[in-house]
Amino acid sequence: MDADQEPTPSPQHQHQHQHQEQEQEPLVYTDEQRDHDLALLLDVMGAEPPAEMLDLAHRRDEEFAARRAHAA
Amino acid sequence: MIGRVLDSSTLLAWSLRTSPYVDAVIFSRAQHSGYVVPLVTTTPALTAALAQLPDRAVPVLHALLGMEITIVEDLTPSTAPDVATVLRTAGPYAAEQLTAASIVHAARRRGLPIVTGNPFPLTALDPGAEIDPIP
Repeated sequence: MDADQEPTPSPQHQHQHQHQEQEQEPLVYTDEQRDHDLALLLDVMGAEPPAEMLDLAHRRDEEFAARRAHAA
Repeated sequence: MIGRVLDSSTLLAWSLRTSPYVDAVIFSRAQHSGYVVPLVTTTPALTAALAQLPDRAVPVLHALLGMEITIVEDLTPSTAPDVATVLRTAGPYAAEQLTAASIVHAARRRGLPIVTGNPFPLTALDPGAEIDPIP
């Protein structure tokens, strides 16, 4: 992200700049923690979510990632 | 894969079991292995959701809160000034929009999109807020 090229940053740009400032190291997610979380979810949900909804969530992940790559 | 901020509408959708998309967002973050892809909410959003939930749905919300990847950001004396900065545009409606401001602040701080069924209070405070709308 290069705020120097924009003398008056837009709200979106300022927002993205704040994102950059707040980036944090990812925390380790152990297999035990993952198993614990998935067990909690499946207990509530009964089964995995529909494939089309998982696909939509995945596509939106890609869209958000593309925006970040574009802003960088 | 990146995390998400969950506002009160999303907490309600999860707790009342009304949105397969919210289920998918939550489940896919939990499935990711290796590092935490967080699900973030705030104390005001949690409070607002609890206030609207029937008793039978509260344990479902608690299950979400009990996950290792779920983070609840507190509104404390030290975070209040930054949330107030978000809230400044609300003017005399600041009290009513406090929950939305806490969510926008969490999203900015974490650099994450917000899953919501009602983006308008959020984008009113920050037109640049990244929204992941519940279909």
